[in-house]
Amino acid sequence: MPSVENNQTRPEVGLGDILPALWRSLRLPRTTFYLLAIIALGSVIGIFVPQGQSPEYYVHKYGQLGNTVVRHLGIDHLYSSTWYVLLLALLLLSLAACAKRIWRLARDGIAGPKLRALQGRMQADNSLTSEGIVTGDVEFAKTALATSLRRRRYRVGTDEDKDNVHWLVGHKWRYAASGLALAHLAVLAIAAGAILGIWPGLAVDKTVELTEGETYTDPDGDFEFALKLNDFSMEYYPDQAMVKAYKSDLSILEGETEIKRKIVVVNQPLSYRHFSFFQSTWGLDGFTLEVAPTNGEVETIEFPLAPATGHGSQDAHGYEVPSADSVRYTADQTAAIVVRGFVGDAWERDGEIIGSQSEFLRNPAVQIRVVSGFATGEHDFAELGWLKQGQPVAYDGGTIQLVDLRYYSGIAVRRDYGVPLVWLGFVALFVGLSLTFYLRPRAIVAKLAATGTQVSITLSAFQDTGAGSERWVQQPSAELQDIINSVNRDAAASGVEPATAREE
Amino acid sequence: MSELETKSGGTEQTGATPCGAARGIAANLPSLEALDLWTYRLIAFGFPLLTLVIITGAVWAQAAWGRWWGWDPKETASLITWLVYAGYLHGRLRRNWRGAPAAAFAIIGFAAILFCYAGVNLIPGLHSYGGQVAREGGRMVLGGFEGVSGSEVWLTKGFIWAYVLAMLAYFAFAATRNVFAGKSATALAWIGLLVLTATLALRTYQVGRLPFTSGYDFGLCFVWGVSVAHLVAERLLRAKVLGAFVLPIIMLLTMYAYLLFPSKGATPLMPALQNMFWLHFHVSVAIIAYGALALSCATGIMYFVKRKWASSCSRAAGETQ
Repeated sequence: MPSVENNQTRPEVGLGDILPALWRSLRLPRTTFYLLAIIALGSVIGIFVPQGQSPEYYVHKYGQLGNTVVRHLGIDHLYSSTWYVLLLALLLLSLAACAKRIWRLARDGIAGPKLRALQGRMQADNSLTSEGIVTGDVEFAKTALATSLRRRRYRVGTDEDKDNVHWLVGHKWRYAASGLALAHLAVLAIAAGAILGIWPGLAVDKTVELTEGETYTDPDGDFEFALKLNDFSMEYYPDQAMVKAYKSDLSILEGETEIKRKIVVVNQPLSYRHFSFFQSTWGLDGFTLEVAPTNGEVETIEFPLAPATGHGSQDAHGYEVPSADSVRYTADQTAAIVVRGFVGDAWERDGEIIGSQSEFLRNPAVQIRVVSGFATGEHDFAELGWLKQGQPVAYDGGTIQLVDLRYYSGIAVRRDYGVPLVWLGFVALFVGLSLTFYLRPRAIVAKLAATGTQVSITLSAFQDTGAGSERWVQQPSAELQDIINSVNRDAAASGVEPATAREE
Repeated sequence: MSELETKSGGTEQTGATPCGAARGIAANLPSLEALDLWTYRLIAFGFPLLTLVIITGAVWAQAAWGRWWGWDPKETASLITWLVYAGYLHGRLRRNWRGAPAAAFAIIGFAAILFCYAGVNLIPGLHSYGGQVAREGGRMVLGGFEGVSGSEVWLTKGFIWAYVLAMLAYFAFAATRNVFAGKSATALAWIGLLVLTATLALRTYQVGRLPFTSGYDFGLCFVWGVSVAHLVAERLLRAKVLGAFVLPIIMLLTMYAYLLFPSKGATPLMPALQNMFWLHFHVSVAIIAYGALALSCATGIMYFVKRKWASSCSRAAGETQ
């Protein structure tokens, strides 16, 4: 067998060939479908794998190998990982690639159906058409039909006379064909708004923690005014271990001047100069004791509180005084106050506080000991027991009391220029989808054939399926017979002898 | 004759053999084309509303937390659900999907809704108010009527039993096409809906607002939405047999609400939920959307039942004749 030498060389494929091919494949309906499917499936991973945790967390939960996989694939921050963002970008590109076709679909839809296209799809199926005979001339029948169609809010479009057969087309809601384009455009608007919302230099998204009375000036220079937390409080539902409201009394200061003040709660942010301030988190910073000796000035002593580690003062359902900070001296250095315990929600049994009954701070108390006698070296230990808020305890002829808990409030500071665009996108998306699925353009085609003194009318109804080469589909409609009856009534009213309407 | 109803033919559908009963049910179902069309119509009705649910949720999240999207598990699950239905609609409108793939998508879409509604509650996140599974000593606590009044207990038992009986009656109708069974099924479904409405009205009266707070609240509302959608569809389509496929979904949702939320008492609104306008808007639209999409799942299942049993049992019948 003779050998055949293949002299054909493989054509060189360059970037110039790949890009148009990629663009073409992005236009394919199946590409959109696969992208939607991959994004949906990929998103599921982020639901099951907790996001933004430390490497130790993933090692503990999934083992060393699992942690390696999670971190290399970016699953710990899935929704901002390269591959996920790339998929979203591809989806938007595919949408952009389909823009021309979507636009054409909308344009053709708005232009209304072509009579010829409808004629070609008109089936002589008795279940799909209604027929009637009107006595009179064609012009009369056409006028009566047009009137009846307009009464039903159809716009009467094409009027064609050929070979003694006359055609009339009425269409309704053809502007609804713009819905498809509007909905797709809306997705682009939402995406653009989302990108604008995270654009470096424009977007601000941070949480600042302010203790009561603290004034915050932004070290990053994102805003030049100052933010002051006047007070933070929590409101509880009566008889329920549930917070009703977290309230941050915030002020905006320009220099020393208070420009704006508002009590910010969840769902009611403070807005100023494109910035919004939201109630985000809260925490306990410490508490204040008031020491009132018999003679001398009233003194306030502050103790810090930190999330419980179990190594500090008594476990307090979330908070404790760190060991290193559990001793404070009075101003004259004659006595030391030692905090031995803190509870946020005192749990009492037989008049004794035995712990905290919840993580809430409805009934705080501190257990203290006072040590004195430093001058003589003979230390005197006085166990004062539990001090409840606002209930002074006697000591050395004076009193000591727990006056206040000091909170900090986490305020989310946001500036998002993309939000108006996203809102616009949302409106356009819903309107576009409603137009597409709730207001399908409809058309009624009338075929009139004159025979002697009578005109035979055949009506067919079509609905726009929104896409495809055969977008107009003939379908049954009770309206058709009503139109025939209406034309007959008009004929009777005008004195023309009525003909018998019939539905096949 | 309605669009969906088909004429029953002969005695073969009431046959004593399993295949005879199955063939009977399949024969009583509407044509594959009608089921396919109605699956599409229900999804086309539900999809813009599902979009509105996500939109209202995003606008509300912006008001509450300052971010309209935060990739919270509930938000992500709702996006996945939206993508599934968007995929279905693209397939249907652009690739002219019909039949089995379309029906499968309707079922997958509703499974995604169930995951978004119930599955996500097992995962901590911003939407943890959607309901947490009750545990006692590490064991799951199921069922019970903790925290509700005696009258509400009776009302709840009433609608559950009405739905159980309605489901059995719909099954009997689907298998035998017995007129009495059909009428009883519809009457029981109406009784179930009325008693459920009374239960929700009582809860509304007790808390002074629509009961949209806890996982149990929304469980009842979800059942209510599907129940209303079913009875409206049954009337519009005059398709009684639909009930044999929707009532199991209603029972599944009812049992989920009953079993997984032992504490059924009214709960106060946590701070994030204290936005009456968006709370009512968001949840109300969700009830309608979920109702329609639950029905599309039922018509999708009906499609597969019709396709499988009508063909395989006809073959079996042909071989034995």
